[in-house]
Amino acid sequence: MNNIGKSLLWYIAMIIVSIFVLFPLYLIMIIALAPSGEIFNSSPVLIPSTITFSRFFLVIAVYDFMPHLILSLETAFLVSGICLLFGIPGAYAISKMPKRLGYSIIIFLFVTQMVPEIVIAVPIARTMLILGLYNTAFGIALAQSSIALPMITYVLVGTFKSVPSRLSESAQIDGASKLQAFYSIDLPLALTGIYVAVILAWLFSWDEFVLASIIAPLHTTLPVLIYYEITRGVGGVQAADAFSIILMIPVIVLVLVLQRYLKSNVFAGALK
Amino acid sequence: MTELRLENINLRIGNKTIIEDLNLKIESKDFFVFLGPSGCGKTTTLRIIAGLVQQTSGDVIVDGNVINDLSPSKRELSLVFQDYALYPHKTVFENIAFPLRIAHTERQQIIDKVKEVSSFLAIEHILGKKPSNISGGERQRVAIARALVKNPKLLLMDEPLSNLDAKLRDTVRFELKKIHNETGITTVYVTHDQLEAMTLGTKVAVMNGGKLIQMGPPMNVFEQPVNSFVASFIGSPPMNILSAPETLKGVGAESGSIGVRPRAVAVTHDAKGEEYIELTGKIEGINLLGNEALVLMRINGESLYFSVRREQFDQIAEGKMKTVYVEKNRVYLFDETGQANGRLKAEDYAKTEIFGS
Repeated sequence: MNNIGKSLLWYIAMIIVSIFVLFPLYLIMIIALAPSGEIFNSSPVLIPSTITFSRFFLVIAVYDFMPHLILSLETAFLVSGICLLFGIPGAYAISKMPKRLGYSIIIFLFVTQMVPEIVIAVPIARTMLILGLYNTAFGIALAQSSIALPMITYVLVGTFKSVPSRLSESAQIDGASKLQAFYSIDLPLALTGIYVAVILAWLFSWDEFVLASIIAPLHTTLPVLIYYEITRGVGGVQAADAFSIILMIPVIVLVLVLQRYLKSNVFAGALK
Repeated sequence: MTELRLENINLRIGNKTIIEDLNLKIESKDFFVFLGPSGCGKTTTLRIIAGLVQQTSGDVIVDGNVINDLSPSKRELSLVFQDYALYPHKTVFENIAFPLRIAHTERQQIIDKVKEVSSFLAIEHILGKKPSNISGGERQRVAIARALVKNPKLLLMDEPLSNLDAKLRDTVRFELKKIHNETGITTVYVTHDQLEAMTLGTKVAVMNGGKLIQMGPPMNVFEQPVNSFVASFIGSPPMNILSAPETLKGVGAESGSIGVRPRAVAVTHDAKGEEYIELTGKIEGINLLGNEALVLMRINGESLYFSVRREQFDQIAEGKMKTVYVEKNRVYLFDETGQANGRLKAEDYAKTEIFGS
């Protein structure tokens, strides 16, 4: 087959996949934007006659949106920070251990995940009360990190393992201490994986529901707020839908900002 | 100027012995080559010298100071890795400057030194590029430049030519010699290629199975191998080791084996009588190489490879029986265990520096 045929097939495949992924998102957009008469009937339209942003304003005004948004952002960035602060050194150490030992430690890290979140959420909430962290962003972030940190550490172990140890050896021969070799060679070369870890930790916290709802039931994060408001019935399904879209915006921004750092060939030219 | 000694170096991992009782002295300005097949412990020895591997016992001594406990960063030596190990996120300039930056050298001095070493290696034009955008040969020069820039006490090289194509390898081999001549830096070089060892080394140490087998100037090791392993490892094409009883009887050797270098074989007899031995067999294959041919002959079930010069191509034909001649003092003798046992007619079998047994 010639090249044009090949790339044509490739484009067709990509279009099909894109439709598969994007169409549900389009539906969510339409439901939030269309007049309710055109959606809630026996033959809902795919292209609405007019669009309205009124539900977005309703959500922001009626739901007391801003403080919750700030809390959610604070929590998500705290979780990312905590995961990097402990995940990077931990993962680097594990990546340099003998295979078996490192593997055992990773398995051990995931022990917390074996218990259903809801079971440990209550004792964690009690501890947060004692520590004065109940209903605070830092409290939620600590609890969420107990779940996110093992996952992030696991991702970073893989990242650090992919950095050839030859390079930090070379740095040490060049006169660098182990610590200097780490931050001038291993760390910059692991950046792609670290960005991925940031995205994962951030997204985990942004979506997390169980721990947030139990540790901060009063002043709470956006996923919990949307649940409260839907169950209360404020603004109907279309308002909740508008809320979901708002919830997606920071995620899209974060991924767009970080994706240009996600390079696939960072090691080109290092060896041979 | 730096002198390096290894004293009773042993390395065991689990119950496996990697390096056994290694003793040697590398003198100032030496170009010292470790030669051996893969897995013989030569690269590990280099890594012990560099401090990347800790020996089980024994001492690494530089200028009289035991440096066993010094970390690699404190040993003031450089290592050119087999795969170069360039920092892919840094430019060529920053790669070369890295040892200086770590040492907190002044800015202007860094620029001057990098310029100097890169003009010496003719890589000034690529200083701004990333390692991924330069050729294999250039990467190799960058690795050497980075090794030289801090004026190390010792320059260690681990098979630096093995990733280059054959043509480039010839060029770089000459350049390495030139670099050594001009800097006078004590160099330790690891290779499995006997040609590199012969051409570059002021001294060669042949290793096998974690042991030092023989050490000395390359020509001595070539002329007077201590055993059949060294004999067949050094020289290209390798020395033929023949041990069929009929062959031994035919040339007047008693037991063990005889060694004949391919270029010691003559296809015509110049009427020197008993100064020669005769070997007769069937010619099974001929590789024409231009000015010479490599010929495979079967003698009493064993292979004998030998070279024939262009003028004598008419003397050989595939599938024919042929008698060849070897001067007696060019026939090596080995005992049953492979140890060298002089020559059929010893004339100038001088003692070489021999370690181990």
